[in-house]
Amino acid sequence: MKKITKALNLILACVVGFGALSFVGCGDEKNKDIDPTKTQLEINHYLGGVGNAWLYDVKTRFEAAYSDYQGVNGKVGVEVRINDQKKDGEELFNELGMTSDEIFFTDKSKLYDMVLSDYVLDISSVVTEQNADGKTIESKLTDQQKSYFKMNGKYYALPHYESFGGLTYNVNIFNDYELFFAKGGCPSEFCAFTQNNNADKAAGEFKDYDYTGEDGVKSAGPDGKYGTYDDGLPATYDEFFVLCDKMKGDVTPFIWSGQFGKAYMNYLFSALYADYEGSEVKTAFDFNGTLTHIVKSVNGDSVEFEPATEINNENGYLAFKSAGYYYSLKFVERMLSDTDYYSANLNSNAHSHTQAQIDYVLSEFDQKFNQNGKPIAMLVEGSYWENEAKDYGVFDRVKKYGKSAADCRYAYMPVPKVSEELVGTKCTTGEGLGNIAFISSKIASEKVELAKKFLMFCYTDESLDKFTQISGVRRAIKYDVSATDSLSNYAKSIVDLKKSENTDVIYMVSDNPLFLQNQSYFSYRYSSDYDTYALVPLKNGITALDIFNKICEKRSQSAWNAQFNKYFS
Amino acid sequence: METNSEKIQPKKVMSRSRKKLIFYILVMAYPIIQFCIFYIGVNINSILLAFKEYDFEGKGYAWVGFKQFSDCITMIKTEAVFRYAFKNSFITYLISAVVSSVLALLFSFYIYKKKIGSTFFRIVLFVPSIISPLVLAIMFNNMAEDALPRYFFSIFGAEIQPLLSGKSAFAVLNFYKIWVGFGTSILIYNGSMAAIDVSVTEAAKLDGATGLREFVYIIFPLIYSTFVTFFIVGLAALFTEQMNLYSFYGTQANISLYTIGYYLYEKTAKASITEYPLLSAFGLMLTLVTVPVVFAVKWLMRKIGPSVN
Repeated sequence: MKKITKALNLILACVVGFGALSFVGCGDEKNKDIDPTKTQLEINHYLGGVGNAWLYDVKTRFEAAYSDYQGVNGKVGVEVRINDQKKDGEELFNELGMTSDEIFFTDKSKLYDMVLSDYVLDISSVVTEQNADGKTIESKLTDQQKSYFKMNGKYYALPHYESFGGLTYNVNIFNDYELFFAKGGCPSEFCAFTQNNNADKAAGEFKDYDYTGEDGVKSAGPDGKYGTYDDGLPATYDEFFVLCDKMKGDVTPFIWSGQFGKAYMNYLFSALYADYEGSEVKTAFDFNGTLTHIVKSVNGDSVEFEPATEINNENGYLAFKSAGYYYSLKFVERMLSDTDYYSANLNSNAHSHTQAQIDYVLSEFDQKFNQNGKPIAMLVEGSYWENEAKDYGVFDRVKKYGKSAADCRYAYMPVPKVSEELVGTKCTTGEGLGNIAFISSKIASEKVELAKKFLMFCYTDESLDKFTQISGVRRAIKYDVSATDSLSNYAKSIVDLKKSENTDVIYMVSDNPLFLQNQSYFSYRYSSDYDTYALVPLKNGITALDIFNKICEKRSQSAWNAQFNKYFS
Repeated sequence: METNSEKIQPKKVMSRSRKKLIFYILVMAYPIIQFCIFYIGVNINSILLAFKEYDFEGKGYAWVGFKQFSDCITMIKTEAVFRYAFKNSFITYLISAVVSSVLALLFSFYIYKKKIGSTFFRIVLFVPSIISPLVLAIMFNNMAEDALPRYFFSIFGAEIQPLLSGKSAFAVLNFYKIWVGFGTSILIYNGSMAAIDVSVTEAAKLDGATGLREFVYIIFPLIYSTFVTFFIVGLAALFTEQMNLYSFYGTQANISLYTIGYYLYEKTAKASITEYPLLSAFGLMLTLVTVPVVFAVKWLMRKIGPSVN
């Protein structure tokens, strides 16, 4: 017995020791000795979807460019030290008052709170002075970004990477199983917009659905125009689900993370909402403008609208009655209506976002990665997912199947339109501007100018271009990507989407104090009495209409008045 | 004329008691300062915050009297999450107080009686307490969500829902809570039982007492104070108990699984500076409810508990 006890003790000691060692493995440059001959810049970097390769590239170029920088106490040159960590802006907030890090690149930040708490440095000069590329960073910001980032006439942060969620499709699977709509092969080909805006429009009238591969002659897609990035993709909700029905014999249409899917599905809800509401999304956040999609009643599939209504702080609750909410819920309700539409893998709470990426990528080559035993066509994720999967080594695993990362071809799928009447309207994506870069107000005064130079360096045209070349992700700022040859198919599709004249990015933020001072209220726009995340009740069989009604009930006029009356003029 | 011995000044030697005092101060200063700042200071600040509101013009917190408390009552009345959170907090506490305590007492008694495999049980049941809670949660999550449904399917050919995602989630979370807390309870109960004078149990044995009688009439009364402590400590933590929800779901737990402790933690982690006062008021209200209940239950348990005599 004593021997058994000793053996058990030894095993337990090993378990504890191994656990301790695993934490020792978490290292970054913060743990390395500093070079006392140089001036250090401490960078706090959220190691998420965009990875850190872009930052190491900036570090190398900045250190070389400032190799003769004269610091205090005779120091020459700069040492950029990168502290990669996994705390997003919300978690980081409570540490900002005592941090020794100087420059931050974070996710999900609470900028307004940080400014109120004096945690961030005024970087107006960084934004407004001419940069090395001869332009100011301010000139690369949209008007909406300028008004959000400028508080009391000063800039405190800059947008970091752009992240919009939605659907990714596997181009190989769409090609192999001929899942692109052929020209004239879907009803939207004969809608007014497509017929009026294409000289080579499909002739005749719609008879039956017809599909083709990548090289076939494809339909116009949601933008209603031939020869663009969305050709062959479903243009309306109905076409989308017809396609899902076609798929489900050989292919599982969707996968998303079972563990974090509630949040990832909010990306899809937002994408569907923003695309339907278009420019009115801005009104729904700044409570200044006209809303034309406020729901009066819903009868079956038909939605009756209230007359166009001027929105202000007093009646801001009406923004939650927008049909965009209802339609997006309806879309996801249909996604969940058939268990053959989605992989059974996501039923597990142990199914992480990285596992979803692995299953999505590898199910193309090995169907054991999908419990449904089929390749998976679409992934619900953020626009950074491919880089995240690459950093996680997912594409290294395809070598086992005699393939390379270049053989894995994906593309961003613009969400379809609610109905044929909307085909040809702009593809609008919503972005939260939560990913930001800023300088800590705790930085030593003698390092302020150097930190500002570093931030400016990150936003030159060259650095912005390199950011996309390395990560495949765009920064949320205006710039051109020099060449797309080295980009993956997915990254190219994002660049194409952004380049398209038919695309709008609306930032789901505003400078209205009602929004700024109550941001958590607006963070969970789909929250109802059923759950914070709309996916949960939908998956439990509650209808889209019930959830929509609950969302509206929760934001009733009386509740709105009680909470926000101090903002009424 | 002064002698040499008179010239030499007597060396000032610190008295033994003074040295002891300095040593004591040095040893105690750090924890006391830490306690003052991070417990007393933080709690006083938190209590005061409940009577304030963030003033955006003045850029700071301003006094608003009991406004946060009335907002808090409105919030509890209108938000559906509290229906689940209060219910789950009570159920979890009752399960842990009744099931967990009874099982821990019985297992401790078994180990105390040195029955077959008692050392093995002691070690195995204590293992969850020494492994990192997060590591344990990840292992359990993978087992309950992935491995068990697959094994079940491969053995019986029937599909079952992953245990932490479906309707079984609340029950499985409570099972997990009991299981991980078992080691500590057993260790403490066992320690209390070991302190009982052997002559008492031997006398009972000579009088012909069975194992059950020995437990009910001798062991339990003698460790009753430990039992009361567990019960009271659990009751005091009624509204801070998270049921390990954060370990399993992060901030994405379903509303139907919420406890008050999880709600407070999740909201505080996400809250903006304007929302802290409301959360402080909520916390204070819960304390005001819990404190008298805890004292009343403590008094009652002492009053009605078994007598050592």
